[in-house]
Amino acid sequence: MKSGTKVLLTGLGSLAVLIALAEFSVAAGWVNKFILAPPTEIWEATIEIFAGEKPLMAAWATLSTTFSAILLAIATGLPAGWALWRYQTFGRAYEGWLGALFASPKLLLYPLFLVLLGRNLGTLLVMGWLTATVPIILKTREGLMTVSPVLLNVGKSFNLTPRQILWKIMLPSAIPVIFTGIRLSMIYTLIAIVALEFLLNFDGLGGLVGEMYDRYNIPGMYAAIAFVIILSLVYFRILQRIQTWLRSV
Amino acid sequence: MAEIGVGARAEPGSGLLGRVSAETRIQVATFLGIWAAWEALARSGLFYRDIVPSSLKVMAETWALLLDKEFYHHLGVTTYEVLAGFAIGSLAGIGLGILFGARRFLGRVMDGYILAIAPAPKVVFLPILMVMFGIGTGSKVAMAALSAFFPVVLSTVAGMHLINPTYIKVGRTFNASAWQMVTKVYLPSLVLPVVTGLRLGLGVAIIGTLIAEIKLSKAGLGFLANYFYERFWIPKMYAVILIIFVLSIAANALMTWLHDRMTRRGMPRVEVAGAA
Repeated sequence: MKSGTKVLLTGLGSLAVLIALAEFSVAAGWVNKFILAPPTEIWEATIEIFAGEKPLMAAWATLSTTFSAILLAIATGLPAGWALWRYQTFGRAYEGWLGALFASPKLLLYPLFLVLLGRNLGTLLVMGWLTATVPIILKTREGLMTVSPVLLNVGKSFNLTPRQILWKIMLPSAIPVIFTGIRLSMIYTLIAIVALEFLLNFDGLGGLVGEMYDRYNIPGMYAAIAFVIILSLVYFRILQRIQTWLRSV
Repeated sequence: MAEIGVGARAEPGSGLLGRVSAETRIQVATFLGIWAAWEALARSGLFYRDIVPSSLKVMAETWALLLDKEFYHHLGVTTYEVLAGFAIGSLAGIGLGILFGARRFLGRVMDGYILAIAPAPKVVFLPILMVMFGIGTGSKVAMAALSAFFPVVLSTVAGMHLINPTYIKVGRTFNASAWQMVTKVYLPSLVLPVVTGLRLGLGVAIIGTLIAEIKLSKAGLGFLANYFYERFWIPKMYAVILIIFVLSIAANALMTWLHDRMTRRGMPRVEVAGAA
């Protein structure tokens, strides 16, 4: 047997054992079923919830908010990153601030926008944009700064104008680094949006989990959480694929 | 003569601004610009009362908060939750990281689980934690631990893969016990990756704790911010958020400083993917 298959089978096998253990420990009364829902009940809840279109609507709400915020962040972050590369003094002046902003708990600024914009999609979009735009600015600047001088010299020897050099040489060679920024922002923005939906009981994946908890529907809560994890796993796998593909091109 | 600035001031053609770097001037100008814009908005009357409060009002509220004994109770609760959770999560992360790194097959099996959950929004686990540990400090500590665990375990495993195999062979040749391998071979080589993980872990532990407090709690800085928000005491709410920001940026700066000190000592760097 190939070692990859062995790893996969062991992984799936241990998952099956865990599920069986969970079922048995609730049935035997070792664990309260209002704390750990038995997997069979989670499965029933999954079927029940997915019979309606609620989870799909929730996924759509979360993903469309996330992507809108990221598109806004790309539209603003790319030019901003370019400007900070072009005007180096400004780049150096703001670099540290952007780094600090990246590491700070920006999510906690949401009450500010809640009082300014109200409890609506606007707050979610602004928060998503704020989360997404910082890594894009930083990585765009970094990508443009690290373009190989050899490529630039080739451009100069062909007498390209600065504009042509930017569009034909710098941007294409900076794309893998810029995409790292976009990937980071897609990870953090999804997390931020789901967290806000959960905190504000907003339609979406976070709100779905919160609603199950509020109704004390424990099997439904586990089902919703599993749905969010599987969905985010797929989301991150796709991002990884794109990144690998961009690096190989 | 002009060693430390004093003499330099007399140089011809350099006014007071001449000695300040262009970057600093930009930073000061930007700060003043944002502050002036904020004050203008605050005084414009465009917004409903106190939604954009004057910065002076926020500073006054911050000062009042810092003099209030009650505030330190909430600060203490949050600090306890963050640190207890961070300690539990990072110890588990380091321990399991070493185990998964040393036992390659187990590591590969667990990789699937860890990579599946690591980038997922941890906040969705909060309901489970509240059902398990109640709405008091227990669920917040658990949330901080869960948040901190993933970046720490990922960077520890990554660090284990980077250890020079010769060291491991030398350890085995000397018939080192498992404990000796951990303390004498693995841990000394893992300092930098672990610190990298801890830096990320502390950041997410702070956010996780505060989110849990805001959602449902009876004490803590997140609770306090939410309490003021619900009563529409906006300047007070801004004051709490300001304090939270200053504290978490300070915590991050401390970990970054620690990390940079280790890097300067020539320890290997690791990149942690998806550690969020």
